[in-house]
Amino acid sequence: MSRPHHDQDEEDYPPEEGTPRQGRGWFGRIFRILGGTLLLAGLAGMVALVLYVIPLDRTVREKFEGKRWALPARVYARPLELYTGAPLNPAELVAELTRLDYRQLAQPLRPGTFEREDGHFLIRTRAFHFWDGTEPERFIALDISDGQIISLTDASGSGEDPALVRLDPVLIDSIYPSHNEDRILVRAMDLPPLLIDTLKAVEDRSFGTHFGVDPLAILRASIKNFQAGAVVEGGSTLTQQLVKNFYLTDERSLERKLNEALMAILLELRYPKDDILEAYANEIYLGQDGSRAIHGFGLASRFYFNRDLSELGIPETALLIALIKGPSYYDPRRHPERASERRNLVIDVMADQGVIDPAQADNAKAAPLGVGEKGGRPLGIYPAFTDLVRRQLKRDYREEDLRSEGLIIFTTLSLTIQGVAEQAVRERLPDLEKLRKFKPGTLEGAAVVVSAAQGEVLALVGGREAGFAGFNRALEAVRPIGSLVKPMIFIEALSEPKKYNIATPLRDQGVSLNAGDGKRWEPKNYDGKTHGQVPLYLALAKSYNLATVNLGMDLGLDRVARRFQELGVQRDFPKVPAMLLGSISLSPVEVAQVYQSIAASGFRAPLRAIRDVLNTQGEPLNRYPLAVEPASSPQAAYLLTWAMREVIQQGTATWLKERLPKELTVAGKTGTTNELRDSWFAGFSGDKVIVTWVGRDDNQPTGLTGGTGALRIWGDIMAGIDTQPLPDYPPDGIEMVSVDRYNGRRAPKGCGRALTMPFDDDALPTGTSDCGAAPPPEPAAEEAAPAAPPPPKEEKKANEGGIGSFLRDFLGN
Amino acid sequence: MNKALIVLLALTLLAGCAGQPRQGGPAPVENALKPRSQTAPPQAPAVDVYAYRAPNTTPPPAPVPVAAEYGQEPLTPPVAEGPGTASGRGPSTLSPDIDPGLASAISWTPPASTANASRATPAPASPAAQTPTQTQTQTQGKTPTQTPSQAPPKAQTSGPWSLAGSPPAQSGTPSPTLGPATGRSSGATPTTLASLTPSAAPKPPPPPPPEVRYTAPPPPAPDLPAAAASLASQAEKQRERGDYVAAAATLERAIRIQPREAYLWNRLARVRLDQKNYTQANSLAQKSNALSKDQVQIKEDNWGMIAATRRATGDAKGAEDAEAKAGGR
Repeated sequence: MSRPHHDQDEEDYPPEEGTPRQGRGWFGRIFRILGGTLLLAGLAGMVALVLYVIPLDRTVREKFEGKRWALPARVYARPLELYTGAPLNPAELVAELTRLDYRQLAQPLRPGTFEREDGHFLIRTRAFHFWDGTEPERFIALDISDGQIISLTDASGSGEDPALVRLDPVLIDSIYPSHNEDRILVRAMDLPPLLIDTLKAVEDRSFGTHFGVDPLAILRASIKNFQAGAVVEGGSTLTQQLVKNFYLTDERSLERKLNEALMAILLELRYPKDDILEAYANEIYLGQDGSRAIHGFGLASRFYFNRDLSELGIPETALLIALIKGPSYYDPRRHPERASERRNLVIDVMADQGVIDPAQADNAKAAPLGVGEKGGRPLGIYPAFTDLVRRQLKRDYREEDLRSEGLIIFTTLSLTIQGVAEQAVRERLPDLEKLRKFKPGTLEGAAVVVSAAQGEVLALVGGREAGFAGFNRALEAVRPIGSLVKPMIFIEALSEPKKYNIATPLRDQGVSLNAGDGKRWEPKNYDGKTHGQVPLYLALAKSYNLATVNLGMDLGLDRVARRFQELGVQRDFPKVPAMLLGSISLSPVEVAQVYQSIAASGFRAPLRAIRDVLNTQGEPLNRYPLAVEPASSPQAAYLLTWAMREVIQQGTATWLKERLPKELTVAGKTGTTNELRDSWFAGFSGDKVIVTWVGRDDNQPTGLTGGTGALRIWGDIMAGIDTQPLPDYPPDGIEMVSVDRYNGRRAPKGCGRALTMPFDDDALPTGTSDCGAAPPPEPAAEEAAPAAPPPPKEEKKANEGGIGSFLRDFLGN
Repeated sequence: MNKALIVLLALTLLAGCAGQPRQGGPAPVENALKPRSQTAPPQAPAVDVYAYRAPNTTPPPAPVPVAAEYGQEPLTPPVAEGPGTASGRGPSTLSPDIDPGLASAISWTPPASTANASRATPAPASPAAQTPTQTQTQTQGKTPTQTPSQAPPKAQTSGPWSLAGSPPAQSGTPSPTLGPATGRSSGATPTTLASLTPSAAPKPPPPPPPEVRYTAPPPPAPDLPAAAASLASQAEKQRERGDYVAAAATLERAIRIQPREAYLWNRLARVRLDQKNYTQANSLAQKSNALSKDQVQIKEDNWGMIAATRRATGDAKGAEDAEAKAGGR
C-alpha cells in the first residue's frame, strides 16, 4: 500500500540512477544519515499529504453518498379521470391534454400524443406514479357525446378495456431550493446510450479507462492551448468536471486545481463509473430560466424540447451536449446560430467517433434546433390555489424540506373548474362596475369551489387577475358575512323539530337590544318594513333581519355560536346580537366550509387542498384522508336546504332561475353588509359548493347587494361547470306534506296556497288551514304557533362583546 | 511524471484506507433522503412530527386534556395513512416500521408536538389516539402558552387542516390565514410542549376500549357504473387483506365519481371500523345512512357498524338501539 521499497528508496538517492549502492565508510555514513533524513522528510510529506487528503475524502464521500441535491417539491393538480359516464366535453379534454403537452398527431405512436376526430379520441397516455401505484402507459380510444364519455376502450388490441384511466396530472407549482436549482433526477440506467456515447465522445473519450484525471488529455490540451496561445481545449475529465461543479467553487487557483484532481481520483477510487456518470448527468448546469437554474439532462430535455429524455433524437441529444460548454453563450433561444454551429460540431464529433454514421449526421445537421416553448416548468398561473397549498405545506413540513426533499404533492385543484371560475370573476366584474359607474378596476372578487361531499377545494380565485400572485382574497379578505349567517341560525332552530318546523311563524318585528357597549342596537329590515308573523322558510328566503334576530335571541346566542363552530367556524367572534345579522367576519374559504357542512347533509368534511404527499422516490409519506363529522342532523340540513332553495324560487336570488337550467336545482343565500360594502353569495348544487364575494380592497361601498353582485358570478360559475342538481329525495325521518304556504297548516284539497314542504316525521303539521280566509301577510293563528318561545334574553346576552356600535344598523339582505 | 503519478496514486490509496470504510454502496439517487439521519444532529428533528394522523385509531371515550393525549401519542409515523400501498405494508405498520432515515429526513413540524414526539420512543399506535380532527385540533391549536387546562374541551372545531387558523379556544387573535405556520415555526413551541408533557415518563395509556368485532359480510353491491364498481371491488379486496390505507384511498377515488352512493360510504365506514377508528366509522356509517334511501341492507349494515362503534366506546344502551335497527347484523 504505502511505499513498499524503503530500502531501495533509501539508497536510491539521487533518484536518476536505478542501481543500488552500498554505503561505505565515511561517505556511506553521510549517505545513510542523509538518506534517513530524506526518508523522514518523505514520510513526513506523506503524512502531510494523507492528512491533507483525508478531509477531501470525507467531503467526497459525504456529498456523494449523502443527499446530493436539493430537489424542489412539485405540486400537481388533480388528475383527470376518464371513464364511461364521466362528464367531459371534447374542448375540456383537449385543454387538459394541451396543458399536459400532449401533441396532437395524425397517428399517435408515442406516449404523450393523441389523435382527434370530433368526439372520437385516440390517446397514448403517459405512465405516472400516483399515491396508490403506477398508472401504466395506455393506448385508449375514447368517445365523447353530449358532454360525457360514452365509451372507453383499449386501442392497443392487446389489453382489456379499462374501467377507468387516469391521465398524468398537470404540474402547477414547484417549491425551489433557495439557490433556485431545478432538476429532474435521472438514473444511470435511464440515460439513453446515445447521450452517454455523445457525452464521452465530446467531453471525455477515455472516461471508461482513466482514473479520474487523464494526463494524456491534459498534455494534449496543453499543447493545443500553447499552440493557439489561448485556452481552446480543456483536459478535464468528466469526473473532474463533476468534482468542480459538485464540490468546489469557481475560483481559479492552483490549490483548487490540485484539490480537483485529488478529489477526482478519490471519487474514482470509491465509486463505479456509472455512479459518477449518473451524478454528472444530474449535476451539469444547462441553462437558466429567470432565477431558476436548469440542471441535469432530465430537466434540460423538458426545458428545451418539452420532451422526456428518452424521446430525444440525434440533433436534440447533440444540442444538449453542445450546451455543456456554455449554456448561456450557446443558448438556443437567444443565440440560435451559435447553438446551431456548436451542435453541428458535436454531430461531426459523433460521426467522427462512430457514435452515429455519416448519413445520420447529415440528416441531423439539417434538422432544426427543435427548441420549443419553455417547458418543464409549472404552469404557475394558479397563485391563489398554490398559495393555499403552500400554507398547508408550510404548516405541515419544514421549509427546508419543501425546498430540498423533492416531495411530490397531489392536490385537489380541478383546472377545468378553475378556468370557469376565473373567467366568471374576470368577466362579471367589469359589467358590475359599469352598472354602478365605477372606474374599471374598482371592484374585486373572490370565488371558492368545493366538492360538497368531500370538502375538496376544486378551484380558488383570489382576485380578478387570477394569474397574478398578490392579495389572495379567497383566503385573506376577511369580511363581515352579512346574511350568509342566517342559514347557520336557522339550522339550529330546525334541529329542534318539535319546536320549529319549516313553516313555523317567526315574529318579524322591531327589537331594541343592548349592543354590548352600553348603546342600543335596533336593526332594521333591508326594506325598512316589518312583516309581522312570517313562516320560517320565507323569513330566510326573503332574508328578513328582524325575524332572524328574534329567532336567534329566542334560541340564545350561546347556542347559535356553538352551532357556528359545529358548522366549521374556527375563528373567534364576539357573541353579541349583531352576530345574528352577520357581524362575524370570515374569508370566502371559511364560508365555504360552513356551507359544505350544510350541503353534505350536515356532515362536515374539513376542507382539503392536498390529497397525498409522496417522497422523491414515489413512496407515500402522508395522506390527508377524507373524514366527516356530524355538524347537524341530516334532517335539519335537508329542511334548511329546502328553505334555501326558496331563496332562489321566491327570495333574494330569483335571478338564478333565469341563469341556470331549470333542472339544475340549487340552494343558496345572499349576503350584503353595511352600506353595501360586501356582496356575497354562498350556495350549492347536489355536488358542488360555491362561495363568491365582491367588494373593494379599500372597503368602500360597492353599491351592490348579494343578489346584484356576487350572485352573478356565482351563477356564471354554477352554469359553467359540470354539476348535479340537489337530490330529490328526503332522508329518513322526513315527510313531505302539502301545507298552506303562509301558515304551515295542512292544506285542504284545492287550496291555492298549498305548497309541499318537508317536515320531521316526529312533528308533522297539525290542523288544517282554511286556506285563504285569513290574509296572507298576517296568517298566523295562535294555535298553529309552536310552543311559546321564551322571551328575548337580550339584556343578558348582549353584554358579551364590546363591538356593535359600528354594526348598529347592520343591514342584511 | 509517471512516477509522481504513481506516488500520488499510492498516497491517495493510503488516504482512502485512512478514512472509514464506506458503509454500504454509494447512495443511489433515489436514496437521497437517507443520509440526513447520519448527518443530522441527533437532537434535531429526530422524529419530526407529522402533520396529521390518519383516522385509524379511536378517540378516548371522554375528552382528555390535550397535553395528556399528547403524551400518549404514538410517535413517528410521519405518515398519516401509513405507507401502506406502495410498500405493501399493512396499516398496522404505522409507527414502528417507518424507516428512521425517512422519518428524520422529512420532517413534520407542524403540530407543535415535535419535541414531545421526538423524545418519546416509537410505540405502537396507542389505542387512545384521536380522530383526525381531534389530532388536528390539538396539533394545530397548540400555542406556546397553552396549558392542558386551556385545552378546548371539544375538538369539533377543526379538521385535518383548518382554513381559519387556530380554533377559537386557543387563539384570541383570529388570523385570516391558514395560520399555523407561525405556531409551527416558533422555536419555542417544542420546548413549551415538552415541558407541558413529561414525555420521558408518559402516562400509561388508558385501558383499551373493549374489543369489538364486526364480522358481518358486506351488503351486496348495488348496480354501480363500471368505474365505481371496479374501484369498489378493488377496495374490498384491499380491505380484506388488511391494506386499509389503500382501501380507503381507493374508496375515496370511487366517491369522487359517485359522491352520493351510500354503498361506497358504507364501505369506507367499514374500513375505518376495521382500523378501530370508531369515531370516523360511526360518522361515515351515519353519512351512508343519510344517502341510503331504500337500500335496506346497506342501512342495516350501517346500523350494525354504528352499534359496534357505540359498544366500543362504552355506549351499551346506544349499541342496543342500533342493533335493533341492524336486522341481526
